[in-house]
Amino acid sequence: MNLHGLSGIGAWLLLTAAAFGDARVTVSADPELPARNLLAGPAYNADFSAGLQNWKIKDGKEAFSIIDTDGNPALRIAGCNIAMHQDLPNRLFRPGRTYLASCRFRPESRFPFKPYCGGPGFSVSFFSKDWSKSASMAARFSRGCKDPAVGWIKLVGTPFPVPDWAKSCQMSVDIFYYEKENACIGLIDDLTVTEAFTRLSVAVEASAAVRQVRIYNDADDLVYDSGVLRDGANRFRHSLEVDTAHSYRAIVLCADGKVFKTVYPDRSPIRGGSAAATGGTAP
Amino acid sequence: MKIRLALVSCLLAVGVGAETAIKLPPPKPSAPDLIDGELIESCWKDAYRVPSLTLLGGGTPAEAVSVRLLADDSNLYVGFECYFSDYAAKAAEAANPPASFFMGDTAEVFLDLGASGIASQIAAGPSGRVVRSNLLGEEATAAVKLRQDHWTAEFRIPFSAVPVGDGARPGKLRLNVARGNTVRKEWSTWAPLQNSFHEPANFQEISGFQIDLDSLRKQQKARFGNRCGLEVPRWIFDVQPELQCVYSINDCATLEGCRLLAKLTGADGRTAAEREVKPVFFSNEISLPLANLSDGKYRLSVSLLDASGKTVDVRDQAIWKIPPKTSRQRDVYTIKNQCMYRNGEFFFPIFIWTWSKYVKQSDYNRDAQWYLDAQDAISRDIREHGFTTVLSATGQDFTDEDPADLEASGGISPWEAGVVRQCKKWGVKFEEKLRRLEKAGLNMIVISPYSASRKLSERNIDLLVRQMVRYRDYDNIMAWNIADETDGDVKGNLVRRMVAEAVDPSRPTFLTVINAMAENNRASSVLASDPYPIPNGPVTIVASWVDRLLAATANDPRQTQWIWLQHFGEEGVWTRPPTAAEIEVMTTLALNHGVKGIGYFTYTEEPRRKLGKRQDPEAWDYMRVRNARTTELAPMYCLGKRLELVRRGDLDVAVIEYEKSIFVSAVNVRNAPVKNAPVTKLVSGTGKVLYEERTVKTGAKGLTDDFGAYQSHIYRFEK
Repeated sequence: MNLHGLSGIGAWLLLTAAAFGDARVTVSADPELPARNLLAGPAYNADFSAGLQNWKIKDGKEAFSIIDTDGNPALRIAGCNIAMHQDLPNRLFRPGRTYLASCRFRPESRFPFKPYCGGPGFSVSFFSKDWSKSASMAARFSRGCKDPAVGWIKLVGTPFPVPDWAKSCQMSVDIFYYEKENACIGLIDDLTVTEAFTRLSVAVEASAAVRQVRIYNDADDLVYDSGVLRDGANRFRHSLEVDTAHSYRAIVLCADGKVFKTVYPDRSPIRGGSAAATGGTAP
Repeated sequence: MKIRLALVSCLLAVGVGAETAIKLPPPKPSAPDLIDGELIESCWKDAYRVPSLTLLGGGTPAEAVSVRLLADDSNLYVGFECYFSDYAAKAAEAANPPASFFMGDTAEVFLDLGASGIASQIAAGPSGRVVRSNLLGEEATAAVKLRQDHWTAEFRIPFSAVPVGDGARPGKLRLNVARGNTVRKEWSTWAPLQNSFHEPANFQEISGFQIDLDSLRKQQKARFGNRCGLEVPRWIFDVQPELQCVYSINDCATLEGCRLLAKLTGADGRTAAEREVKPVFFSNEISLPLANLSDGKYRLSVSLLDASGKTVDVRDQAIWKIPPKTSRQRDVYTIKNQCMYRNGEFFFPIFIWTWSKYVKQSDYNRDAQWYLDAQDAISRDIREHGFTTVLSATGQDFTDEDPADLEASGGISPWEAGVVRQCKKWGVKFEEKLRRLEKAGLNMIVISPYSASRKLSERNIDLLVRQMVRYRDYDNIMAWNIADETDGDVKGNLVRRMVAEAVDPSRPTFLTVINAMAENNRASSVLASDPYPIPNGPVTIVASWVDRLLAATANDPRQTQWIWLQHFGEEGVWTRPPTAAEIEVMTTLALNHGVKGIGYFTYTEEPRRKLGKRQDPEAWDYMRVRNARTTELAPMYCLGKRLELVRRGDLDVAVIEYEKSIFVSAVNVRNAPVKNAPVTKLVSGTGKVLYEERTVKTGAKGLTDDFGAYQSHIYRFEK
């Protein structure tokens, strides 16, 4: 893999390479990021670009509407203990493979802290043939908010292995576990399900010795730390398994105190739906 | 992009509330060139005058405050005049400020740049001490002057020093000015706040800003900004020679020429230990010597200095040095192979909350003897029903605490504080209650309000440490209950455990969560959960809850798992209490699935119990039988080897090999009888049915039997 070449790379290689004076930091992933959103396209209308098409609402239709946010349609939910859903073809998922649910959420009212049961969000549930077994993955807003003006928040679920008994599948957007007198309002958009993991690689070539390399996801969680490197080498390589719901920032410290950074990919996977690769950029 | 503040000509708003946005005038002809506490520059004449400060929750302070505000492109300027009635006292305070800064008189400014809900704070006292919170570097400054009937404070706060959070909104600035006149117990505020100065959503809205917050955020991040962190794994020390911490930087433009300065400062402001670290990495392990420190509270601070020596980031953390625990209690509780042992012997706790006597205001005219006798009667009632352990109330049992501290902790209700006050008058001591409890054959799990409070503040930790240092030498405390149902506060739960185990390393910690067992599986040595299915859910959720609890804690042999079972009604969706049969099925399910301790929520005093709504009197009577059986069978359930654990039709079945026998514990989970139900094929021959004076013989289908609704049978077969 030509990790620092800016030309002659295969289409399979997603490359982010940036040279800053005297260091080159390259981050790539296999499979590349943003990962393919299994819910992309009009068949599922998971970005609500076709309004409420495909979605079934049993009760409380008035609780669901589509509104425009900066030219982008989003689902608005106002109420509590309400849900809308659609059936998904089981072939979307391969039993035994692990997937990850994510979406965007913007509170428009106060939300109580719901650490126990989760809050508004979306889920994908799997059922066995005789409906005796079920399991689901979800991306939910549970931390609560006192000030509704926090803007869009990315919600990421936990990796979920699809069980081999799964025969039918349903996607649901809902707000549950809230008291009726505390009707909650929020926007939900960009429902995303991706294969959960990818292999992220970072390569550094610097004129000075590399002292420390760290990788953060876009939630600022530290996903990798080389620790302090004392071998004096000015090259560094490492790869690790990461989830596909985030972008990643590699930050490199050299012995002369200079710091180099690269973000990969340059747009948040949460806006996904496209498998097109984009190069990373440096801040 | 340049930070811009649209300057607005001098507009004085009158009678504003939080709903009305206020515009601040720029300093004219120029900004104060010296921040010296003297509000004499001509710009102050035309400053916006804050109409008035009112007490938290309403009212006028006896000692008045006057505040003026100015703002230019880059800075907010605030001038305070804090009046007082006793010059000598104020001069003494200025010369000898209280050890805890906020226990004195303070002028305070709060900003929420971008209305993200997170405030920055700078405060100054008459001594000239300045305290900053959530501000970058030390560029926000203040100075004070003491005068005959008031003291003045002058602040300059650069907007570049106020962290811009990710939730910040353009054009928004929320501001408050306040005076914490703690000596006079007067906390006055400009914004209409109710309970605390820390309610940024209710700060005054300032308009006229056109700040590019994204740009400012980027600048701050490039300058280290809020991308640094200090991790201090241990906050409580006794014999440890060193404190260790890690200072981390997760984003910055450069670290060329940077250094770190780590410092331990005592309550008297003196530096107790100091260390410089260079070069600086993204993660920096720092240690400071502790051996020569006297007991007390200290503040660890780590400052990041750039190549020019300017402080660009400061992180801090309170730490406590305490005397080591030297006492040894009569009963020592340890956890081995996920079971609890008392003085080396297997012990199965059967516990109940709450043991504390409910004291009404009309009881306040009684005396200590009445109270203690009534408490003893409850202890006897609990013990006679087979319980081994009680949980303290969160507040009312701690009669040697200051009721004001208890109330301020947020961990108790006002009526409990009333009981504490009354018990103080009666002279009832907590240790005396523990002694009497022991005489009744019960021990206690203590839940401190300072730990249980959802507000795990530094003050609460301060009080918790003080309380535990006093209580840890007492006998008859089995464990420290660190919190209750704090599922979402995973980090806080770890802090609670860290504090409890550091102060008292020889007792277990106990935590109950509702659902987030896996997330909190390192938060206590005893992890519990509390499924309450009656009357709206199936009783079998007890089994699945125990399965989840055990799965979440499977890997640590020094951790054990307990379950709370429902023994109450008349509360929320729990409209009725469980019957004796439901208690039986829930208990057997819990034991079959492997819990190592069972609690019943809750104890109900007899007059209320008799009504049958809060608790079923028959079910309470049944506890004598149930708990005796549980105590007898617990070694089998906990120390035996499970050969089978299965749901077979309507039966939940555990087959357990223990000593020289095979036990079969089977319970019908349906509220309907079942005839000739297959139980298991793993046993053969004749078995004794415990507690039923009968035997069973296995046949071609193995062991089969009849079960009444929710009935359980325990069979014993010799190997």
